[in-house]
Order: sequence, then structure tokens, then C-alpha cells
Amino acid sequence: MPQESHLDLPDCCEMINRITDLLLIRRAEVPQVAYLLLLFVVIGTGMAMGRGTADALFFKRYGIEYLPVMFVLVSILLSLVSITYAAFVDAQPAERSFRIIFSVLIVLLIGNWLLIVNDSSSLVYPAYYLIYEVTSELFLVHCALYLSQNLVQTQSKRLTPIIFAGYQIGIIIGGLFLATMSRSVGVQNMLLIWAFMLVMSFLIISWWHKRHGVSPYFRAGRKERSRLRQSVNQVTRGVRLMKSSRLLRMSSFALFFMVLSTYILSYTVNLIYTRTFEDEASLTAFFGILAAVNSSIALLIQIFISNRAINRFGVKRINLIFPITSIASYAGLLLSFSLPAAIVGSFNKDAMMPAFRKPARTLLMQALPMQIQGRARAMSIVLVLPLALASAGIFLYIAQGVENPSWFLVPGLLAAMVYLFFNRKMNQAYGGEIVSNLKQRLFVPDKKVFGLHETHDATLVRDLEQGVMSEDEDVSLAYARVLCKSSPKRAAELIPERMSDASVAARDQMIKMLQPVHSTTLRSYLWQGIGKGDTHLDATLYRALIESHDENTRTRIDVLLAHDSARLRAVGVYGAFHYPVEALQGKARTVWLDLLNDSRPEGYIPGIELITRGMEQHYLEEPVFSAIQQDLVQLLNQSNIRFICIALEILSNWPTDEFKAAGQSIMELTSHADWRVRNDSLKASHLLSHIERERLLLESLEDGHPQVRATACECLVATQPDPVAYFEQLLIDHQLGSPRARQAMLEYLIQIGTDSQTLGAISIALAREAGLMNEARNTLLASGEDLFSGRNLLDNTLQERIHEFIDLALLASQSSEHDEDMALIRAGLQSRDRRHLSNARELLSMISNESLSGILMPLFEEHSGKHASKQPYFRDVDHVLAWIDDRSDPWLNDVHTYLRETLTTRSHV
Amino acid sequence: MSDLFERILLLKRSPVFAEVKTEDLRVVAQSLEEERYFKGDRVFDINEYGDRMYIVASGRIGISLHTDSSSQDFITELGAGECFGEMNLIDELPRSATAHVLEDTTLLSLEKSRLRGLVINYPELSLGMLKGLSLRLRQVNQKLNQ
Repeated sequence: MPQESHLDLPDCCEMINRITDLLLIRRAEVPQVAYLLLLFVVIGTGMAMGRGTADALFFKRYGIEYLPVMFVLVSILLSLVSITYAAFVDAQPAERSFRIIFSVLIVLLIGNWLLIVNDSSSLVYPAYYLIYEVTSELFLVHCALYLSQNLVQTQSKRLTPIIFAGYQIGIIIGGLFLATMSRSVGVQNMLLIWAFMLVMSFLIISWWHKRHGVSPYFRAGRKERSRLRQSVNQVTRGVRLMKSSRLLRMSSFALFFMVLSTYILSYTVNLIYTRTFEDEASLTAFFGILAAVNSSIALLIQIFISNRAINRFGVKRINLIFPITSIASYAGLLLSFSLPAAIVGSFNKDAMMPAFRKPARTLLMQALPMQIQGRARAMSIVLVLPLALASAGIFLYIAQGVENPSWFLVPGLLAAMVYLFFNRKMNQAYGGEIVSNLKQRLFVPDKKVFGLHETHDATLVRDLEQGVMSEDEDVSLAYARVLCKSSPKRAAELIPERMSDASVAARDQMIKMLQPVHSTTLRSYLWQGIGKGDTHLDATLYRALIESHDENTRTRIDVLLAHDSARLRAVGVYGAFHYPVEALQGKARTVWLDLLNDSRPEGYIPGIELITRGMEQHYLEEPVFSAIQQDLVQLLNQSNIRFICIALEILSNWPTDEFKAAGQSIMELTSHADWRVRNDSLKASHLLSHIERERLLLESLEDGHPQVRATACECLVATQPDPVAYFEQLLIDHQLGSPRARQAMLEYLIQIGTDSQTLGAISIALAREAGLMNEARNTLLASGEDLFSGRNLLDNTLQERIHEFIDLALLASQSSEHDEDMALIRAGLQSRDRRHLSNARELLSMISNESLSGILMPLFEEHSGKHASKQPYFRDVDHVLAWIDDRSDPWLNDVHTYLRETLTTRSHV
Repeated sequence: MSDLFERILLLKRSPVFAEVKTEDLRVVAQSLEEERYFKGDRVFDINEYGDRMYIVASGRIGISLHTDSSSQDFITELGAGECFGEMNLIDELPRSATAHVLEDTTLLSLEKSRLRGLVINYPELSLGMLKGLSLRLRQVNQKLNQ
């Protein structure tokens, strides 16, 4: 659970261990992270070359006054390229798409270089600029998709900033190269260097996936005939998704205004740079230095601040940083339209955006279901981005003619403010999206499921009917029970049909099920069955007829009272009182007494059974009351479970609290192998002394059967004047029992509607217990001893206990939080699917009970072996073992004893 | 007592019981029966109807899919702690393989009817077993996707 054992690496790798610990990288993730870092470094290097050279060549050889036009052209081209991109992005793994994009780019770059070198046309510079702009947007989207297909949510949170830092390192390398080599290599020849970087990226990605196979979280979209139509459909589906997904809607608006404000800022700073630097080489070198410096700062932020900030403050707060810094950049430019302000503006775009905006947005968008993330991204770059770009381009084309820069700075500032607004809305939608995602994928039963026995659903009834007609009698009986409850009328028609070829025992059970049903058809069937089985079956048939007030049976009561079979005589007694037939009641009493005084079980058992089946009001009269007491004690010692349970049922309703003769038997029966006997003996425990009873009931809270635990709970409630305070004390002060025992008490408290303050306190106590268990486990793991059998079993048990206490803490909190969300969190945490687990943890971090999430969230943090708490509770292993021994958890105590035994054996060896 | 806990750890290694809580495994461990086999024996033959699963306490078992149950062509060999025949705890189908004893072996067996009784009295056992089976199915699906 929370912290897994870390790999032991040789001493020479101690530095790597320290670096990975610092960066929150788990040991098992190191190879994958190293690969992704390398890939992103190479891609970043190429992109730095592209940006510096594309901008410089365009601004100096073509003219910055055409930049707004380029924005519009980029938007159109981006749409077209994106539709093509969206056509295949969901149909194949992201690595395959990467290879295609790399190949196309390599060809285009070499072509452009040739055209520039041959001085064929000045249009090559806008063309090259377009290539870079489209590529950078495409890479942005596709890199995020690639990461989402290779990392889960919790990994993304930690690793995305680090991986994007690799991209920054690439930008630094590329920037420094540009700064130092632009004059000597020549600005145009940098295109070839970029092409070379793309070839390297191609080779790296091919090598990794040849070794490790397809991206593990890739899920193919549905195949359709026309790819173009499919691609357009992707976009239209993405638009439709916007209507249903609030997160997608808000993020799309946020993206629109972000692009608008960023491109206006970009135009502004480039205008200042172009005016400041005279030739393309110096401009390229400046761009190189700017890229290197900004990326270095971005890198430092990403490595040391971003992921820690996301973990510490949450992704929603980090999502607000970039809009705020954008507003600040505009404010600076409005105050001073100069190079320093422009550099600050570039810093915001080149450092703050990758450090905070990109990782936050990637994480937030991962709340969307996997199969629609591709469509959502496609829609962003086909519609939203181009629309925003075109808007920026048109606006700047109109505004650029004006001398006063405020004409385009103020609208840019307004766009940044609206961007901030929509980012806040996006944050609000994030939690709801996770809830929706989990709801679609996890089964969380609601009250409707438990009301199946009252269903009128035709499909369900049909399924039940099929089950009733099953040849397997156990199956048939199980379905018959449900059908009788859900559709009694249909049961009365169908079950007699099934009974026709059922065994006597099965028929007997089915008749008993149908007894509450009064129908003429059933009565005639019952009459037909008499004499065709054994006396047991006849007794059941007569009883069913008596219960349905069949008049023909009334005339048979006298005959039944004189029958040879004790069982039929008992039915006669029942009939005399049930109709009633007053003339025969005196005789019935005599027959009943004779049955009870019969020393043979076949005699007294039918007599005793009458007490629980219709004669409850009559057994308290003497001499019947005295006669049954001996019979009950005899029944308790029978081996037949049914007889024992009959006796216990009677004793559970015994009119007094004294029945010493039965007391010892009841005590022994509470540890019977059959759960029904244990359950019913608890109900009769009021016949024991108070001390004995309480001890027994508390022990029974640890029973292996949930019904027995629930009964123990109910019986404890009956012994206490204030059960809520009693259970509160047991749960908080005494921390009594295993998780199961505590669950039984907790479920009772929830069922009776205990106030949320009490449940909240219990929730915190349980969460703390989980925390201490976790710390105990970590202390044991950190001791460095190998996991021999005793330690292994203890480790297993502690892991189980941690899970259980976390679940109980959440269960206790369920009444105060939004019920559905807490149920989803619990279901997600129990899921074995890492994505559901990850989403559930994310949701847990957002609950309003911050005390609870504050205790529980560190238990999920994937530190590699470090203690979560600053002041450890446990001094050493002995302290842990003493603490475990002190728990009132029988199983944990047993495991502890076993561990001590194995430790003793090892020390002797 | 230590024997019981050792059995619990063995059960935990079996895919069927891997997701069952250790305290619930105590009753399962108590229901295991020890069976001894000698080298050359066969525990069961292919297409035979079976009603129990086995855990290797010591020794080695070779599993063969050959229709000729005497064939020594093994697809896998199982050692201490490994289990086989577990599907017969749940389904009624005949054995899908032959289990050959490769050296003197002690097996712990669990009979289906005993497990059924345990599940009735300890229903949380069945939840854990269902989780284990579900996990196994997911793993197979993942392998197929690859």
C-alpha cells in the first residue's frame, strides 16, 4: 500500500537514488522517466532551433508587419492539419503518430532549406514560419497525449513537470547553440540541424517501443470507413462533448482567451525585439539567449517547484498562476513599452507557461475519460486554437497601424483577465468530471438495487422464472425465494409447475415459500399433493391449506388430531387454534401437551415447532410452559441445526431473563461452526448474566460472518442505556476490535442516523489508526531485515488493516460529505485499476473535510521509502511490535505471536 | 500454530486466494488436507473429473497438456508454494491437464464441498475469491491486448 519496498542499488548509484528521491521519482520508474526525458530533450532542442530561426528569418527577410497575417494563416493551416491529425490520433498509439509527424517534418525542412539556399522565393520565409508554428502547436498537444498513454494520473502529477523539464533542457541546448553558432553556421543552415534532431527523436521512440511494446494506456477509437469523415466527426463529437462536459467547455473557453492574450503579447514583444536588433544574426542570437535563459529558469521551476507545488497546493491553485502572471506582464508593458518589459513578457510566455500552465492543464484534462481525450484535444487544435489565432491576427492587423501600443495592449490585458475567469470555472468543473468518470466505471449500489425484491421489471421476472425452472434444485429454490417476494402472483402459478418433478424435500420448501400466497389455484394443487409424498410433506401441505383458510381442511382437524404421525397431530393443534375450531381446542391442548411430554425427538420437536409457527400466544399458559422447558434444553443439545435454531428462536423471545438450564448451552452454541446457530444464540444471550453477555457480544463482533456481527451489535445496543455514547467510546477512546468489529458498530450508528459530529470524530480516529498502521509498517520495512515468513505475514496483515481503516474512515465520513462522492471514492480506492485508484485519490484530495484528507492523503503519497510524518511515532521495531501487541485486534495479535515464535526460532538457529 | 500460518502464506500465493484477507484464510488453511505422493505418481489425469485444488508444500509437479496422460511433455513445473487444479473449486469441467509427480511430494488439498461450506459460513471469503478471479481475467486480457 502507500509505500512500497524500494530497490536496493549499489553504492555507486547513491547519487542517482538521491536525485530520484528529490524529484519524487520511484525507483521502478527510472528507466521510463530517463527515456521520456531524453526524447523530450531532443525534441526541445530541435524546436528551439526552429523558433529562433523561423522568427528571425521571417521578421528580417519578410517583415514583422505581416505577422498578424501569419496568425490568420496559421489558424487556417492549423485547422486543416489538425483535422488530418485527429483522423488518426485515436486510431493508433501516440508513438506511431509521432513517427509520422517526424518523417513529414524532416522532408519539409530539407525542402525549405533547399529553397532558401537557392533563393527561390521570399515566400519560403512565411512558409517556414508556418511550419514552425503548426509544428509547435501539434507537438504540444501530441506530447500531452503521448504522456497520458504512458502514465496514470498519480504518475502524471509527479512526473509531467519533470518530463516537460526535459523539453526545457532541449530548448536551453538549442538556444545556446543558436546564440553561439548563428553567425558561423548561418541562420538558414539551422534548419538542417533541426531536421537532424527530428531524425534522432524518431530513432529514440522507435527503439523504446520496440523493447516495451505499445503505450500501455492506449485505447483505440472505433473504426469508421472514411477517415476524413471520422476526423470531422471527432471534432463534431468534441463539440457535442462540450455540451455535456463542463470541464471541456470551460477549458475550451480558457484556451481561447489564453491564446488571444498570449499572441497579442507575442506580437508586442517581437515588435520591440525587431526594432531593437538590426540584423537577423543578432536577432537569432538574442532569441537563442532568451530561449536559453527563460528555459533555464523554467527548468529550475519545473524541477524544484512545479511538482511539489502541485502536490502541496493542488492542481487547481497552480492552474491560476499563469493567467495572473500574464496580467502582470501586460501591466508592465502598459507602464513601459521597452525591451526590459518585453523580456519580462517573453519570460512569462516561455517560462511560466511550461512550468505551471502546461502541467496543470494536462492533469486537469486527464479527468476526462481516456477515449474522449483525443477528441477533446483534436477539437482544441482544430477549432478553439485556430479561432483564437485568427481573432488575434485580425485584431492585430487592424490595430498595428496605430502608433499607441495601448490599442492592442489593453484588449490583450482584458483577454488575460477573462482567461483567469475561465480557469477558475475549469477548476470548479474538475471535481465533477472525476465524479462523472468514476460513476460510469464503478458499480456503487444504491437503494434501488436492494429493492430488487419489489421489482416489477419484466426482464428481471423473466430471468427469475428461468431460474425457477432450472433442473438444479438448489438453483431452482434460490430463484423461487426471490420470485415469491418480487412477484408472488407469478410465483403461485409457476412454482407448482416446477414442484411436479421436484424431490419431496424441494417440494416441501417450495410449499413453505408459497404459504403467504392465498390463491384458489394453489389450494387445489395442494389438495392434489396430499398422500403423494411422505407425512412430512402432507404436514406441510395441510399447514399451507390451513393458513389459506381452506374450508375443506377445517373439517379434517379432528382427524389430524388423532393421526399416528406426530407431525400431523401438531398440524391439527395448529388448525384448531388458527381457524379457530373452538370445539376442538380442549382436545388440541391435550394433544399438544402429549407431544411436548414425549421423550422422543420425533414427538416433542413438532410440539416445540408450534411455538414458533403460529402458537406464540398460547405457549405461556400452564402446563404447556413448564412442559416445553425441558424439551428446549434437549433441543439445544441436538446435532440438527434446524432444531437448535428452533429452540434458540423460542429462547430469544423468552418472557423472563432467567433460564439457568439453557444458559450453559447457549454459551457453548455461540462458538458453533454454523453461523445461524451462533447468530440465534446471541439473540438468546439475554438469558446469561450481564457480564457474561457483554463479554460474549464483544467477542462476537469479531465473528467471521457479517450477520452474526450485526446481531452482536443489536444485542449490545439492547444492553446499553445510551448505545451511541457506548459505541463512540469503544471506537474512539478504546479503539476496540478489528476493522470488521468496528464496521459493525459504525454501520449501526449510521443506520440509526447518528449526528455527523460524532461520526466525524470517529472518522478522524479511524484515519489516525490507519496512519499509525502505515507508520508501523514503514518502520518495519525500513529496519532492513529480510521478509521471513513471520514478517511477511505481518506485512500482509498490516497492509490489509491500513486499507480497511481508510475505508472505515471514509464510511464514517459518508454521512457528512456528499454521499455519492464518498461512495465513489471508496469504490475507486478498492479498485485494482490504477486509473480509478488515481481518480479516487484525486477526489479525496478535494473533499471538504480537510482534516480527514490531511491525514489520509499522505498515506497515498508515493515517496520511495521516506516517512510521511516529521516526528515519527515509533522509535524502533520493538516499539512497533509492542504497539501491535497492545491492539485489541485478535487476528493481528495472533500474527504478532507467530512473528515472535519465528523470531525465537531464527535466533536459536 | 506456525503450520497454520505457513499454510496461510501458501494460500496467499495462489491466484484464487491472493485477494482474500489473511484472517479469512485461517479457516481455509484449517480445511487443507495433507496428501503425500511419490515420484512417478500422477495426482490426476487429463479429462478426469476433479473436486479439489492442490498446493505444493514440498516437491515438484509437472503439468502436461498431452491427451496421453502418461506423456512426460511438461508445459510447466511447479514447486513449493505453487498451486494447481484451482478451477475445479468453482466449475464442473474435467481436468484440463495431467499432474505428474516429479519427486516425492507433499500436497495440501482443498475439497470443493469443504470450501462451499466455508463460503456459506464466511461469505467474505467468496468476495476475496471473486476479486482474485477478476484480477486474473484482467491480466489475461492485458496480455491478449499486447
